[in-house]
Amino acid sequence: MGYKQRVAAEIQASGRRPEDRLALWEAILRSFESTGAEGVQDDLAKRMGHIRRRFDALLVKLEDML
Amino acid sequence: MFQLTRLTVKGFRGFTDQREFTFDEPVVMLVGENHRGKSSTLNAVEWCLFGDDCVGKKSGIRERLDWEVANRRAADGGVVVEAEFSGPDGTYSVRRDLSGNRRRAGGSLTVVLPDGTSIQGEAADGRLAALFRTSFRDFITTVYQHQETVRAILTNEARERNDAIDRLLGLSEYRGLLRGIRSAEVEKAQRSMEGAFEKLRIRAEQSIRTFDNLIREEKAKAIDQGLRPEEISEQEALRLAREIGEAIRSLAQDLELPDLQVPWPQRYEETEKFREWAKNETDGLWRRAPDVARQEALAKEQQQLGELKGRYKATKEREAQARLELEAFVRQNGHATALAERLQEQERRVAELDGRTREIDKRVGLMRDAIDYLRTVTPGAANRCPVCGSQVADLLTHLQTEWEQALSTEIEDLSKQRENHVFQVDGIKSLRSQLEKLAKDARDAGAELAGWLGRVGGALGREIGKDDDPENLMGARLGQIDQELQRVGQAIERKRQAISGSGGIYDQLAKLRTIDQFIRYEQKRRFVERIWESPEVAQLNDLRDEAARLAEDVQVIRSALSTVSREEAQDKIQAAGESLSEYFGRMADHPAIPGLTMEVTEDTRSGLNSYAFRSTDGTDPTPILSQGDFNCLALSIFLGLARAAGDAQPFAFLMLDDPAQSLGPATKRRLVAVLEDVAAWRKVIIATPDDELRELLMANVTKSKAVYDFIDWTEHGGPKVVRT
Repeated sequence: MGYKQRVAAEIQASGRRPEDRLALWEAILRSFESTGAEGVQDDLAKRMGHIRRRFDALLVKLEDML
Repeated sequence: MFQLTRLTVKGFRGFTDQREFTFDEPVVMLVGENHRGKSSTLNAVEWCLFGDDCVGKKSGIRERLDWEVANRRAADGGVVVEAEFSGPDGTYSVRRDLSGNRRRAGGSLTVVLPDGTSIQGEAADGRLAALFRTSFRDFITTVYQHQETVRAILTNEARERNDAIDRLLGLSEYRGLLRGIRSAEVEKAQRSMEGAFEKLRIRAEQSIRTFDNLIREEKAKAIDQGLRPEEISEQEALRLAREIGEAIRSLAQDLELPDLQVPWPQRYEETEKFREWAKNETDGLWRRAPDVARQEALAKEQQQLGELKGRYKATKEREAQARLELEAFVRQNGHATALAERLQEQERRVAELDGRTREIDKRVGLMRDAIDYLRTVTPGAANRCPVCGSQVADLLTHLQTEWEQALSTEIEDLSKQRENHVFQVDGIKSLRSQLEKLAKDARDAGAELAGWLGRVGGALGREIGKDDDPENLMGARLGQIDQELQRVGQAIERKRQAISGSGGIYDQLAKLRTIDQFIRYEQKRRFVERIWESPEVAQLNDLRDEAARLAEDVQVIRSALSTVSREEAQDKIQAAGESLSEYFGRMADHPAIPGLTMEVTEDTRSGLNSYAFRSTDGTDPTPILSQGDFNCLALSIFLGLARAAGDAQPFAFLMLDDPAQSLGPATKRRLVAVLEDVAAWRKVIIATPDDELRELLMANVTKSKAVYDFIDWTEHGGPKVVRT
């Protein structure tokens, strides 16, 4: 079993939301194989950044309400 | 198993022209100085088999980041590497081409099977993978030891050494993935979001406490203003607004400004605007009120008339004073005519005295002449007196004793008289000047007074006649103004009470404002409390959950990577275990380290593998290991893994690039002894610039050897290689 499959098996064994986690793992692998460690960093940072931007916009709105 | 038998290289890295290598002996040495293409020869095998897996970031080898595959000076710009392998069914040929300007790419693959079947493109990739069942990772772990890996192990920096050992064990991808995941700092970002949310929650709580305080304060103010707690309500606010509207309308009527439209508030929300209107309207009414305007006009007239009267009176007093002074003067000194007459008289007398004095002077002159004459002629002779004309015996004595004295006395007397009269003249002249000035002053005062009469007339709005007393007229008018001011003042005061007195409009407005403030604070407080039920907070919580899930998933993946990496490392270390210790013992022959074991743990901060070594006595030997010892360690790991792979490894050869780095002569001999053993189970291909190692291999390895001497390298020709 290659390392990708071994990691995937380990992820599957974690129990919760295996499909989501495997999908994330696949995405991380694609980024890594395309552009290495920086690609992984950028991909994850973008995902979190997307959540954060929406979060910050709502936060500003709520703070104005206060 | 597959044995490398032949390699053809053209246009690859340092190679321009085509070169061919035959691996037909158990040991093949590629020898020569640095930068002549020895490592590129070994790299060519790697590239032929794995293409762009061994280039750039994908390789996991830092030195390969800017690796160029194509030689810049190759005649037609193309790269061709062909490797032949002898396998169980015959000869397999693997050929990789790269054409054009693509210097770093993987090129196109052709696999030719023993039966002559040629497979190209993606099918060739698949066939190759199926045939050799070896990934690039496995290849660099058990077939090809790079000199970059050895170099990286020869470092005192633990992090770099761990990195190099991971690479040696074929675990670079784990490392790269873990690094990339860690650098993204997903958990940190998620914690930051939680922190921001917590700040929002605290702020909301503080806001509620602030509003609680404000509500209490407004309630206390309302009670001070006379409101009961149950009156602090929207209904009461509307009722109060109505009262205020009525009061303003009544005020407008009182102020004789009846055309007033009141914007009655129909709902509580309209009371704020109404309050603003009420304040502005009340102030405006006041300013426009006829009584107030009248009061202001009267006050102004009073002030102006008062000033006028004062100045008129002062002028009149000055005029009277001037007249009195003139009259007193005239009484005392006479009028101008009298003074002129007196002056004339005194001047006449002075002239007269001057005449007499001149006359006497003449006689005195005569007398002196006579005296002088008589002194010269006959003293005491009788003579006629030139002064009195009498016959005197002693004229000289007569003149001297009688007339000189008498005339002198007379002159003196006349002189005194004259002085007196001159004094009189001066006195009269002075009086005359004073009289003129007094007369002028009196005239000027009179003219000024006449001017003021005109102004008084203008102020009173009537002509001032000859018989009128302007002061009294002004006094009378001032009296009228006083009375009217009193009357207007009383009327205004009543209206002012309606506005600013207790219970007046301003009072009511203040109560209304307090109620408004109280209600507003209550509304805001309720709003803040209910904010947690708002759709925005629901969305915020969804995003928090999304971030938490992402962080958790990343953590699980990271943990999985770390676990699998460590397990794989452990498996490989275990597989290499005894061999590793044996090879290290044989090569390093360290007196203090008879045997060595290797273990792997997790660096809890990074999740990466952390390698440690233990001597057989349980101590950590790395502080006492030299550079050469670390090289032996790297070689031991590689050879241990290769031996552990056994027949499971499809390739029956090993490639070692510059294995003698940092080794002394004795260690090199021991290395050669180990390689003699290795050559029994693997073909060994060694690239080295080290002449000593070359000699030792030639002298001590009993297997047949082929030597490719890289004697030169030129930019246009590439390596010049001779087989010996």
